[in-house]
Amino acid sequence: MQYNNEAQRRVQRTRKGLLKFCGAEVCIVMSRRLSFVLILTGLLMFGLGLMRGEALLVMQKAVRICLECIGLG
Amino acid sequence: MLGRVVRLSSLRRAVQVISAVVSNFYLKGFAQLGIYQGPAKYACVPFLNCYSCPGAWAACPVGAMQALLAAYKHQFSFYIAGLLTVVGGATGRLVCGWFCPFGLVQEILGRFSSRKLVIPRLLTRFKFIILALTLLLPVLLVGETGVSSPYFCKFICPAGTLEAGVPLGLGRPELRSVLGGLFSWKLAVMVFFLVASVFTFRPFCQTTCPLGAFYALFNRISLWRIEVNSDRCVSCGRCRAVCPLAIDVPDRPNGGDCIRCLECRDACPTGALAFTRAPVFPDAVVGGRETN
Repeated sequence: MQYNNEAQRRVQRTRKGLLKFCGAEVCIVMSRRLSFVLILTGLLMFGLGLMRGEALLVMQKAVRICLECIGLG
Repeated sequence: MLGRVVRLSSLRRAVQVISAVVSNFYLKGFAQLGIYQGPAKYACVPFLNCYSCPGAWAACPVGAMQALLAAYKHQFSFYIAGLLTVVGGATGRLVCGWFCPFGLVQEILGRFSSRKLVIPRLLTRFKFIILALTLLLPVLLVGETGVSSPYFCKFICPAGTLEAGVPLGLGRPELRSVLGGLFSWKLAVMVFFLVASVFTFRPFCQTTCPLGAFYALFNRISLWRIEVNSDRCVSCGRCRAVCPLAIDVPDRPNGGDCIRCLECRDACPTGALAFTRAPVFPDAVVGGRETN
């Protein structure tokens, strides 16, 4: 494998590191899956929060002037 | 394709201004020195924007989370954590670079000086401690009444001081008359960060913002991220030179400090950088181009 520049060498080193660790294909798939899992988890948490009525609690706090924010705390 | 036609740095500035205006467009609040109390405050914006700002129509996630944690029940908000996880999981710190009004304020002040100091890496880790304290102190440091305080908002948040403390605290006579040492402290913190913004790029975001720290955890694994096409990269170093955070882009394109301003992408002469949903190494082992 011929490296054209330093950047390619760096990326290649990273690839080899990942291959040693878990196999590059697995890493790619896992990385993307992890993003989806995180987003899905976030959506579930958001939904759970809505069902628990947390949006109302947020609103009840946010419609009052926060004295701590102003520096009166 | 949009990015190839439009310079993303110009687009980003427009988006920042629009975001700051839209999230604080309740003009009646500024006129009457009150705050919006309508149903839009059920919603949270995904960036730091004090809900006690006279113009704010939605809640600040850090303020609201702390207010719930500090209340009698010390309730963790899945509603807010979920929202931030979705945003962080999708784009990492893109919100910091493109939507945060206080980030915009710091960047505008940064234009007064062309010479920028680089903040040591260790200092940029401080924000993670702040994040931990922001979540833990309202639960652990509780008064005799069982109620705590939103400590980050109370002692640090310069965005809250700028957006709420200054207009309401100084503007309303009944509040102005009772301002004391805490307000002076908060004012000093705000002035410190605003002055520091002239000499270094977004010092508050780099060192102290708990929301930035939370999103930074997602930068490497977010669905959309910066990809380096090593076949196109000619190691000219322009990406490193233009990066306001002095990030070694080819080495750590998705490091936690990156706010995804995408200046590097604009500067790249060969189009080797992209903000995309592509796999981590598009032409590597999966693509099969590499045969050794």
